[in-house]
Amino acid sequence: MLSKERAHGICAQVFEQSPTEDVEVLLFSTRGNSLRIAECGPSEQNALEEISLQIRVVREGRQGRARAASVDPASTGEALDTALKAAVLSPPLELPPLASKSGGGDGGQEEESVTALAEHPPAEKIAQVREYLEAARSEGLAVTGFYDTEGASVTYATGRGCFRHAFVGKARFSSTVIAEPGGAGVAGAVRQGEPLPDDEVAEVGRRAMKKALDSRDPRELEPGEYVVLLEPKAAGDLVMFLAMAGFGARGFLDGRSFLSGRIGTQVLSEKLTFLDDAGDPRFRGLRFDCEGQDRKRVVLVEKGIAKGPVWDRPTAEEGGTSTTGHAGPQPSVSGPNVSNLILRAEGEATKDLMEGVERGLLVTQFHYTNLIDPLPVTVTGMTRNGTFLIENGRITGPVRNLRFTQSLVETFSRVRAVGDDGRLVEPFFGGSVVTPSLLCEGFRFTSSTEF
Amino acid sequence: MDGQKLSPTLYEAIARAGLERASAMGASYADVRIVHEKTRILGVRLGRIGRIEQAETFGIGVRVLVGGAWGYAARPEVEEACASELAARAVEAARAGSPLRARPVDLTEEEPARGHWSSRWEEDPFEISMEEQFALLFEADEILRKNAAIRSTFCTMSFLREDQWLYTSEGTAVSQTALRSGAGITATAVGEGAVQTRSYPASFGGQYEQRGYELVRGFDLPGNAERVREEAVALLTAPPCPGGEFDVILGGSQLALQIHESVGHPNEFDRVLGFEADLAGRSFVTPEKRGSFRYGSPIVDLVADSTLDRGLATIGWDDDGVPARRWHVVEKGIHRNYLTNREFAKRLGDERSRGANRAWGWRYPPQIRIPNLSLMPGDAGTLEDLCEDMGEGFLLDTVKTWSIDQMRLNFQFTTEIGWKIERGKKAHLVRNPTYQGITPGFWASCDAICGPSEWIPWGVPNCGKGQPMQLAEMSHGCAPARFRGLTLMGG
Repeated sequence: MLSKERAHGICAQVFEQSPTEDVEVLLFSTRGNSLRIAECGPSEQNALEEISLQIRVVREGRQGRARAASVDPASTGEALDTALKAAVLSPPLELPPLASKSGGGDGGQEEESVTALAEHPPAEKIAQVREYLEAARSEGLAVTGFYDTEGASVTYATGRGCFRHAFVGKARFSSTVIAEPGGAGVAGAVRQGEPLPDDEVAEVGRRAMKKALDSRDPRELEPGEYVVLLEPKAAGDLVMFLAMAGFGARGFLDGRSFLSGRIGTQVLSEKLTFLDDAGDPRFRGLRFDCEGQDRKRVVLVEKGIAKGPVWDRPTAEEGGTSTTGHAGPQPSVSGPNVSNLILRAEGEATKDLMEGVERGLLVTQFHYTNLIDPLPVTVTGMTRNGTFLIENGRITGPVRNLRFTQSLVETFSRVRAVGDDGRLVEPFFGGSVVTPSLLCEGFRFTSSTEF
Repeated sequence: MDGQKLSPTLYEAIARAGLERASAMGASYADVRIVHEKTRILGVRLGRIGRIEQAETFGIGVRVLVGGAWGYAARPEVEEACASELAARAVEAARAGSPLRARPVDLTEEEPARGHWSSRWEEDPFEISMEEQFALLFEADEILRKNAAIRSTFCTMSFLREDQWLYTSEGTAVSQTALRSGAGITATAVGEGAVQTRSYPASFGGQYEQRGYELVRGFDLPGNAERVREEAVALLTAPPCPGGEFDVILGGSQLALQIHESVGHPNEFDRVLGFEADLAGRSFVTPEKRGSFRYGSPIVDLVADSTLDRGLATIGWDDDGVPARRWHVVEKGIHRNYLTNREFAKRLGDERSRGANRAWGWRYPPQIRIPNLSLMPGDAGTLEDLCEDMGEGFLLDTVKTWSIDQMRLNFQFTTEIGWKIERGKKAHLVRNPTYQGITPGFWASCDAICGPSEWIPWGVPNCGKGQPMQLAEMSHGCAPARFRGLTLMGG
């Protein structure tokens, strides 16, 4: 991790080497370590430090980009030279000028707490999971898992005078337990900017073991349409796909988003409000983007009504609006996307959601969800690690896993109820979102499997 | 070596510093890997440069075995002091975890290796000017845009050169250089309430091989752009693919992903033992199935080969220092062998590793990865011959989306394009063709495979595995093949 002063020095070194002030530096520095668990014990313990320095040159509408192997003067000079040469090749375009002001607060988290995450001792991780692993072993359960802590510094600077710098860190622990015959359970916890306390790690273990034991001896169930109660981890997968397919300005402008041409109309259930907010205490994320712009709080869908996507400067120019500060490294093919997504929970007590369900399924997690059709956001995936039949308002037993094929625009229009348990979860293909449990109608399961 | 950043003696001295520190602190085994990666990625979207990046990384990773537990530490700083410090950090972590392991890690025997290996290429893509490379992409992009229904395009090429030096406490000292190239074009049409995409020569960035720029020249991207564009537009109004059970021919690039997901991953022996359960899942190919389980029909031969010409996973040695090998995973439809490294070969009871231990650059420790894994060609002639022989059915090609369950049994794939085959010929397009099945039943239904003239080593450049997630590259050689009574879901 780089202090603000050290990061400033490296950026200044690049600007001194550059023949133009139209140069941009993106500097990431990370440090952390991880523990992988298999067979109720550690299977890998890894530590990684990394620095990534990317340089973009923008001259007379032409741009070039390069990444340096290191931050020493020879490496940054070489990368700068590559970026300058690349910029000569680029056809001239009307590119927005590089940022010259530093904007508002840079966001992120306190340096001290992020450093604690970066330096979190491997022995402490072992100590935190020891009791859980020993208990599982004595019960004859198979435990796998992943526990990692990481701290990072992120810097954006330009030769025109913009300099932004922040620290971000994360601790996360997930664990999957196998309980024969046929049982599996998962639980997890993630915190931004602070370590996981002992009791939270222990609670993950207890929840995963209980879910695995409860899901033993699953019975076969016919595919078909069911009411589904999606726990946050399952809901998070679907929320992330809805966002990737629909909440970025690039797809919106291309007509590939379910928001395209529908701003101001009811597109989803009135029970749902989606927003992107780096300032939310569960994220405490960066308040600037990869163009050095302020990352704004954006309401994407309010009570089911489409409000608009997130923008970067190139798409905003094309769309006749202003950036919301959601740019990735430029130039970007995929365009801007959400970074701190929240499905706001304004619902009823999660424990009551099941009460009115005559026959439905409780889903703990989805596996390998993937996008089939972007406009209706049709996706397919499998249930995993604890799927249970609900009859007359209560769980009556575990069932074998099922495959679903479903339009998410439909699913998020058929929400019967939203829980009050909104929390930070990590979907299968990465990222993190805040979502509560959701009760949805008419969810289509299209085939079954053998376990 | 062109990729040499330091002198050979310096590499050895740096590695020795790490190995000696690890040994002094009680490591029973240690290795040091130094990796230099150079990449270039160029892309054009709708007449504008979408990607222009050249990057280098240079780093070192130290792996140790202490008290039967692994430890690993890595940093982008290739110096003796750094190697020593990383060794100490790795030992400290391994020692903390050792008492909690159910059983200590044990490795199969392996003779120390020495030498250098390099992939082959004719034209170094990094020596070709970006100007020339962009000119090719802009030419293809301009053709793709000549229809108002095309709302998005992407024409790209990418190159990766990796130089690696591996030193182990057992005396292995090897270096290797691998260069791979890739390119492809994509057009997305929007209209009629639909979005349809076509790609060439494959989707998700195109086709990748362990070759130089001659690969890109051979694709003739501009020459294929008009067809790609018109197919994307035609798919908007094509009838949806019907549902039901049909005879289906899968094109090579689609079948390659099927091999990857339903044969490659389930045969990683660490996954079989449950080591991947928290993320990617486990496997239905449990150990008692070895040698007797019917995986597919008698014409199905699936061969792992780390020596395959042009394969993305072709190596001199794996990251355990095990020389490249070739072996049957499935022979005449019967399961024969798994994919192993030294740790998991020992658990399986094999005398030697299959040499499938590979890491993503210097950042992470190696793990069992799918090597080049191919379906051997059959005797069904060309694709045209096979369509003629089928008479009625469907031809589906080019990956659009994929999903498979955590035991690698229930899969569902959607392809970019499908054709209804009538009287042995392509009759018309169908959109959103989606097929679904259970792995052993799917491979059992394979009754014809095209011959060597249709066989291509399709590259997969983005296989994710592990926590933290690592990427790996591999190729799956195959020719189009026919599957009887496959379930289509309806478009």
